[in-house]
Amino acid sequence: VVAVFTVGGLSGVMHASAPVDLQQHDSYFVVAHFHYVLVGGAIMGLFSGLYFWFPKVTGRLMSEKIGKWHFWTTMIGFNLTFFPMHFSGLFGMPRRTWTYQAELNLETWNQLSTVGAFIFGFSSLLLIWNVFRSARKGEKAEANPWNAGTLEWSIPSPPHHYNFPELPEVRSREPLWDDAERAEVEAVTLAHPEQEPVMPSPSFWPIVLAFGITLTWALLMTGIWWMPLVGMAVVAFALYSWAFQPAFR
Amino acid sequence: MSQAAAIAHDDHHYTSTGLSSWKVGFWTFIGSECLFFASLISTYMVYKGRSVVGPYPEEILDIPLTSVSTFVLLMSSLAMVLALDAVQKGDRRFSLVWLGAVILLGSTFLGFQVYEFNHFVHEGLTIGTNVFGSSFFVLTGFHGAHVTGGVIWMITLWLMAARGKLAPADSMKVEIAGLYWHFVDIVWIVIFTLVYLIQ
Repeated sequence: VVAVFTVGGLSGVMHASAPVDLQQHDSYFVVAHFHYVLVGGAIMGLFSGLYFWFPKVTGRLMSEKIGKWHFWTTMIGFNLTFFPMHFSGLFGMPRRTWTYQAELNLETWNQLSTVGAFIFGFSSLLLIWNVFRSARKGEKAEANPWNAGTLEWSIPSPPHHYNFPELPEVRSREPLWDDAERAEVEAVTLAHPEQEPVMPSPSFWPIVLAFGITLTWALLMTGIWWMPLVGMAVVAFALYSWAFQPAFR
Repeated sequence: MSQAAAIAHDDHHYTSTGLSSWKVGFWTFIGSECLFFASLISTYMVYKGRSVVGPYPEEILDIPLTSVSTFVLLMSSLAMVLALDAVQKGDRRFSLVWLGAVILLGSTFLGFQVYEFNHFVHEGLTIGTNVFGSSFFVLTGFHGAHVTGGVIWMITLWLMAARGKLAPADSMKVEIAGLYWHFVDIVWIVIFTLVYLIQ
């Protein structure tokens, strides 16, 4: 994440020089620059977050083998797509243009980018496959498979309803890495099921209500005066059903 | 019976703030309603005096008539206070009387508004005539829609009281309906002052 983002950051600094920017403007150089920024700064962070919290959310670990394939195809595909764009851009390849003249000698750079883009695209298929495969038959995850230090890893994977009945007292950034503090946190988070606070019972009327509101405004666009009344009837029905449903179990 | 089940039968259950979560939620809703009406009122004020064709506000707004309907709406707030008091005391007969009074007075206000809108349209002022018409009908129309929603709410409470389902333990339901009713009333005071009295 940091290395890729740094490449994007440094090529961004180059734009600050007006003569350089004149050459780079609206070229593939810019495309290369901001993809290094957003893939390094956001996409890779999102991927790592997905791998990190997937076991907490689903209770199952993602496949490490597919994960490694995903990582390497992403790194190779991404760099092969966007690194040559620095050069093709500087040599005159404009962005948002699907073709170019043969005498510009851009074939090699563009072909590298094309091959890279296919690898990069394929890598995301690996990720999607990994998510669906692991959600259904991945290895069962423990409460804290990474030996991580923060609070969410003190409760079971996936978390039970109302994850923290009482707020644990926290005195450091990684309370689970300090044995004494860990014992206190676990005592609070795993004990006293009989003292669970009263929670409102689940209801599907709110989503019906939201649908009715959407329907009302959508039907207003028909221009037929009585059409929104259909949506308003749904709203009224959902509101009353919700209001007269027992609030607590 | 476990402790949790005992708490579940009481609306005033424990919250970390010590406030009823219904009330906190409803005050939040009133906050958003304030912004809603603030934007409609500011729209009216911004367009005030900018209509290039008539009818103009000073030609058409009837202060004596609207003063009567304003008084009616104010009295409905008084009835609301008395209705809450009756429900809290478990006085079913006066719960029905005062909730009924809120419904009647609220409906009377709406009747005045229907008459007024009808009259304006016959005088040639519609929502599309000029910026006065647009901002006036949107502002007062949305207020009227709020009163209508409130009247339907009060009818619901009246029916609950009539069936004996509004015990003192349920008074929070009436209290929250009252918050809404008083809010809509206060908004009307602002509209009446800015639109009708200060022309």
